Amino acid sequence: MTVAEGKLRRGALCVQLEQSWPMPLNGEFSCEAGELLALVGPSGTGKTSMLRCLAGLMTPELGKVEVGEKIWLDTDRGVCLPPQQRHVGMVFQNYALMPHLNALDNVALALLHLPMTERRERASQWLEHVRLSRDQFARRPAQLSGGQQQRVAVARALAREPKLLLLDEPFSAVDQMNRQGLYDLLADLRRELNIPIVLVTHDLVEARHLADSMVLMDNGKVLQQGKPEQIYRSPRNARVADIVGIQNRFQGVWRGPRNAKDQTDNAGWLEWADGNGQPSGVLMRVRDKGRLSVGQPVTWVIHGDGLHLRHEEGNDDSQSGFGDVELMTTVVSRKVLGDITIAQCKVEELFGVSLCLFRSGPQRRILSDGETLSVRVQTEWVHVMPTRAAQD
Amino acid sequence: MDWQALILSLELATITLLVLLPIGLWIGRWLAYTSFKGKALAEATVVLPLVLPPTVLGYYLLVSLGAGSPLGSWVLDAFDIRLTFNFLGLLIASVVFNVPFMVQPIQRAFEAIPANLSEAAAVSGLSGLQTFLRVELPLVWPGLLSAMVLTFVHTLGEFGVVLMVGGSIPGETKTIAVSIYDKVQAFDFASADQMALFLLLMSLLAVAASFFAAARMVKTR
Amino acid sequence: MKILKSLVLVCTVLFGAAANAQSQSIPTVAAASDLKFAIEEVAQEFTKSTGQQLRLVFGSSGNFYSQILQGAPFHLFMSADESFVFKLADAGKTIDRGRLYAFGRIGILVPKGSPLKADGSLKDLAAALKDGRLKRFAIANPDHAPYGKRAREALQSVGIWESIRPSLVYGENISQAAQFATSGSTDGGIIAYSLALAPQVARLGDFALIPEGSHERLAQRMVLMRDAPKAAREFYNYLSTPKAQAIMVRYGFEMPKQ
Repeated sequence: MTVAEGKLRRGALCVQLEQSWPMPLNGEFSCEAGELLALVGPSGTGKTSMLRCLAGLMTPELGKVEVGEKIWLDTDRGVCLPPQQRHVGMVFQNYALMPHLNALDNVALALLHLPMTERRERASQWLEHVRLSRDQFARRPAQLSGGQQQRVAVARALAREPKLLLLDEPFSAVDQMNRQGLYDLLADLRRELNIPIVLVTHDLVEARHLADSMVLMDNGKVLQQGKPEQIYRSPRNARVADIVGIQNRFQGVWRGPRNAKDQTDNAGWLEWADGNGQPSGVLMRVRDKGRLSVGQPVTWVIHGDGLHLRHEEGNDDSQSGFGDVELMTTVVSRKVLGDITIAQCKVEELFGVSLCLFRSGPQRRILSDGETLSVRVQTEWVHVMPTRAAQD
Repeated sequence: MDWQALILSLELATITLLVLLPIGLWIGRWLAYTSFKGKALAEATVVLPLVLPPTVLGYYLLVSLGAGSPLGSWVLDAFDIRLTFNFLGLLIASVVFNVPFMVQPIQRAFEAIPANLSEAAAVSGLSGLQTFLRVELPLVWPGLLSAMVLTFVHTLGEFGVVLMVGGSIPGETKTIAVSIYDKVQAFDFASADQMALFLLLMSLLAVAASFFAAARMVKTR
Repeated sequence: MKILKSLVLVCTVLFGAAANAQSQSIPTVAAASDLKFAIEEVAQEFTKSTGQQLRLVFGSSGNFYSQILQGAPFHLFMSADESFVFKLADAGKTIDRGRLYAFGRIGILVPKGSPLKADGSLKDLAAALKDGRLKRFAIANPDHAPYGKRAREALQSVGIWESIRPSLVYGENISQAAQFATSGSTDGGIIAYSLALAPQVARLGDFALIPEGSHERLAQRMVLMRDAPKAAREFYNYLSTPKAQAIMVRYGFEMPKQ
């Protein structure tokens, strides 16, 4: 897919890469101008390598990188622009600031194409833009805090008015307190810069918070691209579900549609498998995407939003047209993580199956050890994936 | 004080430095930045003159560059240039013998530069030369200084190789270290004292300069 | 960077060539170490009367022989024996078979405070060996220094060579042997008469000549090399003048009969 094909707006990024040695890299994704794309996945899965290919610091075996209407990389045609010619801004992990230059000169380093006086002027404008206070300008990186160094790194990346902004785990070395300020900065920049922004992170919370679009990678392969809620609701396969940390993952057997109404509603029946993998007799009417065959063993997930507690119901009007299932559960364990409580609730009717419930705020009190809770599973939130033998 | 010998020594040290500096920079940077299959062997070769007895080096140089050797006699016939028992011979020996002193501190200095600095420079639009001048050089200059000082002083004090490859020809190959040796044999202890003291002070200055440079290395982590 | 490197290399080669050219014009004399003080004086007189500079290099004759074979640019070789000169002549390095210019002598030197006595017959030395007074004794290296060879012969003639061997310290040339002998870290040594006569050495100890019969005669021969410049030849001839010879005699050398 290219910009020229008209599916993306002007200024967008399109990437297609393929490589097997020295490390596997595979996949394609795109990012609109003004959009922030989060590249997530476990450590060492090639996210940084992907970024380096975009920056021109690494050349893949086969690939194509297009930004706006400019082709930065096309191995078929032998085009490979070096980083200097790419107009890309990159914020490195650990900032990569020049230790022998002060903040102002660090930013000015990206402006060597301008005369000396203009350079410093522009550099201070950018530093002000990233909200670094004036009295920090003459300080060297060693004398700046992590958050301040990060701002200088961002200013340097933006000074050349790049067509693409890349951030490699930029907040991992910044303490929690300073992160919020940087998130706000990033949000503001996104609005005014109108260029594609690619952010690499292994922090899913951060990714969900900041990104318009998420790309999941594992073992160098792009597994899925989509809006964060989309991915959480409908992960493409079990591996994706693992990576984004979906807790409510179960086995089942696909029974297919039963009658004409099922056909018209695009619904089918899923039998929940118990802890031993045996069909349990608990059936749910769920969305049928038409990709499964009857009797096929499947893996399925359900988003937390689809699990309602009887205790909380009343004004709830989310009666779905799908037909829900009610289960009795008992809280067997609890984990309190700051503002959120996570509870494992053992399901009575299903051997060896527990539901994972998250609650925050005053509603947490329901989740006390040994408490019996009635859970309504809103089946339209169920997402079914074929079970593959090996990791997908 | 044998002024002729002192001047000769200073000339030898200076020219060795000038010849070896670009070579050292090139090799040191290359070894710091690349890894390849035979790298350990290459590094061992660089360090070799450090552990090699001077007479062994002198012997091999004599045998390969002397007028009796194939190379030596060819150069003599073709250009009327000798490669031993003259200043040029000393220079060749000196350059070979000082390789580790020049290359190692430089290599360490380049290795100490965090890898992503040159990447950040590239992404910020700096060419290779600009990166070298504005990023690398300001960070490695202490190592460079150290290398230069060590090479200079080491050359001043070189004895074994100089004697073997140069003989002890005054004004040509009689360096200050050889002169001290000669003065002692001539029972001129006053001169020997002066010159030995001079070399001692130079060595102390070199070590001090080296420490100063190390302290001035900008902390990059 | 590469251009800079090759530039420096070219400059160096040119410099080396220039230095080479220059070095060829001043006559270089390779003289045996025993001639150190004597020839320095002769050379001074020579320069005073002719205005011609000389370059003097002192060392062991055997060492010079090897170096000349390897192409060392000496013009006049003043050996402390004859065999090295003949060998060089046979190798075709010289213009002729040279000239006998002096006979040298060896003697025993004991530094101040030494338990040894300056006894030229070496009887005291033999006694010192027996009664343990002798710890260390210096001679020049017999392998390439003629004066060392003669010292060995002298020690052999009184039958103490094998017994004194473990206590021997070898100087790289006769000057270094003399330095060892006077340094106080040995009990004495066999050195050249010409060195012992120099005031710097004489005041450091007592000296006694060893009879010439106890060793092969120190027939010192010199020779001009093939490419020797005219000035070297002039010095060669100057060495036979009465003035030069007088200096040599003062340093204990015996002049050969004409």
